[in-house]
Amino acid sequence: MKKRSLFRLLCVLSLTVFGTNYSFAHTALSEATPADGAMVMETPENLQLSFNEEVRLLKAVVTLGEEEIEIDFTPSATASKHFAVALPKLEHGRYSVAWAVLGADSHRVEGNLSFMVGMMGHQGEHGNAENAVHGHQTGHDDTHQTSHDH
Amino acid sequence: MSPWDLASVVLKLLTLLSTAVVLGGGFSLFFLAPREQKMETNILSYMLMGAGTGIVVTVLFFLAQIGGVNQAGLSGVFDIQIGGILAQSSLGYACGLRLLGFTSVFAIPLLTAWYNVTANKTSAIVCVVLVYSFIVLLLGSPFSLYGHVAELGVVARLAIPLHVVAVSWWIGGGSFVVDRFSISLVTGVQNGGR
Repeated sequence: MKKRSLFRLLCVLSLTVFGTNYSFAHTALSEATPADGAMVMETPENLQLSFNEEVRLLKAVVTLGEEEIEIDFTPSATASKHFAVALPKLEHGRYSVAWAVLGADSHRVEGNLSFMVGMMGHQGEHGNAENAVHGHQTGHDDTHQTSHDH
Repeated sequence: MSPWDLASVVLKLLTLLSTAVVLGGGFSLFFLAPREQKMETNILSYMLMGAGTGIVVTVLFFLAQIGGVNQAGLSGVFDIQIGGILAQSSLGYACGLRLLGFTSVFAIPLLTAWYNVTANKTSAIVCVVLVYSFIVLLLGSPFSLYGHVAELGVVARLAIPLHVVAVSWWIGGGSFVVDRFSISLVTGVQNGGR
């Protein structure tokens, strides 16, 4: 009797452990302005993030290379599908945005996107602020920079 | 699997066990007729142990969720801002309901003591049933409030707590656990026949 009960308990425990190993988040970023990979001529007023369901925005970090740009953002307990974070005047360069939200299922979902502010240049995959500033003048250098990066 | 994920799994398991002990113990209590003091005391002790464990585990689970969401190491567990956000989410409500449910278990011994001394047995038993039903609701409903279950349809969200309660009655009040505490429901029924 005890062996059968122990076996039943082990089955339940196994289901509990292995059944909770995999989580498939349903929360997703549906739209962003500036969009991922976008190139804008002027600093956008806001960073707008739209999600497919109501979420709580926990983190929004804008960086230019290794430097974090100071923005007016604090995590909010208010759930919403759309968020707008005011941006300061941005210099020319490629910016990265790291965001994280708390989904309706209480799971944390995070993601990244990047956009460029400034004039179009010969930017490689790893273009940086310096390249952006000098891109239109030193296309040859950019190519070299990209080659070095590889 | 990150340490926070592992902590969540372990604490979820302990939450399930605590729920099973409380609900299963209460379920067993209703099968004691006529009541034997020693058996009743053992079952109540068993339930209180489950409730105490459940309170601690629920608090630890909530803290682990803060740590997992914050992703800032152990110090991130005590982030008041993230804790406040989580408290206002469905996860926070679920933990709140669990804490209330486990705390309410401490009323059961008082009510059974009242039942043993009062002449108005009917009122006492009704109170015990009501409080136990309240506890079942408080401990069963959180399982459909957060996680992927929260995104399922109404039928699934009703079925899952019912399933948890049924499993709790089976595991928490089953012969395996009852034997562990040297109580035999069979013996109780046989003695009741005398």
